[in-house]
Amino acid sequence: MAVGANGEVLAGEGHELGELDSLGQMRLTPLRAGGQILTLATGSDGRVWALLSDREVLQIAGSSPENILRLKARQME
Amino acid sequence: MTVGRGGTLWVTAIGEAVGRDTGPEVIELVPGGSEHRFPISDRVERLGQIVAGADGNLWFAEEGAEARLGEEPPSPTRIARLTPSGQITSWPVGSPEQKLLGLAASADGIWFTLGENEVGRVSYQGQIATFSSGIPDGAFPDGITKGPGGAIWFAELGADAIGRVTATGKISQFAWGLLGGGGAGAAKRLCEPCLPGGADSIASGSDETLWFSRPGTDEFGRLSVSPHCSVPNLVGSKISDTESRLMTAGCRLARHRAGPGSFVVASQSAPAGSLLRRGTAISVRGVPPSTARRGCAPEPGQRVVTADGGASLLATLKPTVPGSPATPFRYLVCVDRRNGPHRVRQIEETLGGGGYSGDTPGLFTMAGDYLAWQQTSTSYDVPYAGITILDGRTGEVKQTEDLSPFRDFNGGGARATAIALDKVGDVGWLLEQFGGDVSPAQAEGVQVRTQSGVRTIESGERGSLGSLRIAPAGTLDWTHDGTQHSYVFQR
Repeated sequence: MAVGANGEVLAGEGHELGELDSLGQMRLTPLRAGGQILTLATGSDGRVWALLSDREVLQIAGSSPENILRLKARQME
Repeated sequence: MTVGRGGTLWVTAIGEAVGRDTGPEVIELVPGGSEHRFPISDRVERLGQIVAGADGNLWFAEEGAEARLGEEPPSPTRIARLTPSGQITSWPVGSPEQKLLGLAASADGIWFTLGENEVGRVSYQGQIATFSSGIPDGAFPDGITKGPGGAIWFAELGADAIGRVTATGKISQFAWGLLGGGGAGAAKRLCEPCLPGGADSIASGSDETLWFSRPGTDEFGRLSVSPHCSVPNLVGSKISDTESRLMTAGCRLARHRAGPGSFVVASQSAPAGSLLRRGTAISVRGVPPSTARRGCAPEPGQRVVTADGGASLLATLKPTVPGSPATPFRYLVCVDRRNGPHRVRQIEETLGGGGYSGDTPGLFTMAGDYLAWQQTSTSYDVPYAGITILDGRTGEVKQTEDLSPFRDFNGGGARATAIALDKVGDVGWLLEQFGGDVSPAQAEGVQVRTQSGVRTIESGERGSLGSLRIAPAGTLDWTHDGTQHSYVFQR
């Protein structure tokens, strides 16, 4: 669970990324790749990062698929 | 995983999990692709959470550590410090049966949750203190975070409560069940009926809020911890579908669930325990009451950027990252004039994508029915800055060309450092130019945009211009080397 720079509440659940909307509902977005979300972290600049079980790191700017930056170079051997 | 200084990511891992035949290690992932590995002693079985300390070091939990000779207590749970140079030091924490779960960095050290009913702190010098007075047996503190004002808050998995601990170790409980029977540290009753179940993770949000998740309930909760409130306010994510309930605490939040137009409001004015029905007049901090009544209350993630009289700009600001996919940017302009029709303008833009990155718009200025702001962006390393003016009556948006009159594509550019706007939509700004072939005499300027276009009306060296404002008489006033100057808008 993490809160981004603009107050967006994000949570990782298996293969899905959730964002709490203004009605208190969690909107879930499936990740395109196979990794499961292990943990989320927020930097001092408010950027949210997700560590996946398939050794990828995602940078997230909201739960919409186009806002998930996949950093393929981040593979941990 | 945590984010350290310079934006690097730090991850704790064991070799098996990352496809290597190695022991536990801390991995630093540097923006750009490189990574550094810090092997941990093979006397440690596993690593737990990692956080970036205010001292510039990384702190993480070790589990299954072998006892060190002569060390007290002989605990397999340790908290470790990794310096930027790679030096690792660790200290035993708690008893052998206690597990160290959550970590949170604060100004005075690293706070942690431990075992059945303890929280603790290791100072940046390695001195450890633990606190349990006020935490019920079986509470099992789990996630922990630094909240607004620097207080430390922790989720309790077994106690239906959120706890708070001060720098001196004083603990308070805020429960959605009933706990304790009074006295220091006793739980305060915040809701009825209460939602059963504990909380595991907790995160500090914007606008004096804490968010927490509740395993097994599919629910998230929010605590408002405004310094204006004597006790925090708690709202579960599932409230009655027909009406909202104001909590019994002194500072209240309510969720309005009366229909498709539901929204979350913060109320400082309604009496404790009352019900808030649709259409009820409320006051929302930072938003004129009349605007709130019209449905222009900020949603989570939105904030009031600027306001003038009965008009407010509420915006969801999502800065884009160079090279990242396009990011929607949403403005919600609420114009609610006493003597005119109620107007709400909603504008959405998409920034970024490809070689283009749009920065967060800034310098929002509102006057009358007009709103002006600066839009900056970079397209394939070429900077752009322009002024956008929105007519709140018609929704018409006008945008200037690039502000730089000396564009040379050698890295030179320009941006506004202040904007002034009048109530008929004329706008003026202080211009700062940088890079390229800009001479000292061209470094600053005053520009205006009227119906006849953009004009540069003053120039000066860097730092010589300032104090830009539009006077009630309709003149643009500024100082040049301390001398007052004015420009009369042509009407």
